[in-house]
Amino acid sequence: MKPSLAASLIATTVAAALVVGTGGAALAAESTAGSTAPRSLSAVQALGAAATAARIGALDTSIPKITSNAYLNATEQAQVLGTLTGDRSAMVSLAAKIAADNDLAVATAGYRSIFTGYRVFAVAIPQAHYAAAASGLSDSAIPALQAAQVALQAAIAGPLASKDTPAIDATMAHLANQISVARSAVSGVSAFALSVTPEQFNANHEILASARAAVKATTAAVKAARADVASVTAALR
Amino acid sequence: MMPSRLALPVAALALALALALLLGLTACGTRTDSSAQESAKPLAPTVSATPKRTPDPDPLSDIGRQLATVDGATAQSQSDIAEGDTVGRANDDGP
Repeated sequence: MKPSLAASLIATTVAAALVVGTGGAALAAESTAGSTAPRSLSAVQALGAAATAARIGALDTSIPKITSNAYLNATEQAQVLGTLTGDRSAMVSLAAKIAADNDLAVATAGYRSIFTGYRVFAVAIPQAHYAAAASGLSDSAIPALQAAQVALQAAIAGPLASKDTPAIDATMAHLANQISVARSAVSGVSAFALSVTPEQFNANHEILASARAAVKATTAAVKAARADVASVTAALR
Repeated sequence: MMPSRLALPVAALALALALALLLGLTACGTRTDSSAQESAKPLAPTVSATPKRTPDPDPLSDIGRQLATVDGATAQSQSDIAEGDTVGRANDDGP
């Protein structure tokens, strides 16, 4: 994590916590006392403004990073950005709606939907980054490994045949296996990650764990395959 | 005797002319042979009858570029996972 993002998240989290603490107390007080005092509406509106601003800020940090990711193909980049920009528009609209609400119950429902309806922190941003990670490996890393594998196979079968050894053959077999493992692990991960909805997260807070684990497994296989390519290349030089 | 006095120079002149003619013919013959020899000579040594062999391309020349792509995509992927994890840890449960 970059320091600027860390500082930003800490600041927004602290700010949100302070506002949530105040507003939450207000909501709790209303709930217990049954009060519909106007100050509670303004408290909810303040909570809504802080929560939406924090999420818009986080989305504005993530969107340029996905936009500048050179390892995504255009289609998958558009899909990932669609999730983030869609949620950003929703946050802007929701902020305006809560600010304009005159009714405490309506404002409270709007405020709660920031969390249960969008899950920007828990779903939208993580799913976008996990999908981007999977797509980058699938679109760039694995094809590059496959191209290297083909080049090495051709060299071993042709001009560099005299340098082939059983150890090289074993490493080439491991390379083929790791590429296969990576392809299998990453298959469908980006689409699944992007398909996760806030409702699914509400029912299962670990819904994105499998996508994250698959990306980690793919990364490990890609690294192992990369080491195989480097090893065989060095042996053939 | 005038005729007898002229006989020696005339004979010498005739001999000279004959020699000159002989030398001229010989020279022509030599030149012809020389030309023939020149045409039989091989072409300039800088021109070869067979095309030059181009060196074989390095069959592993693209491997470095491919590994760089793998490294870049892997680093980006790890950055994305870290970013998703960091944001995902923020409280998003609401009231």
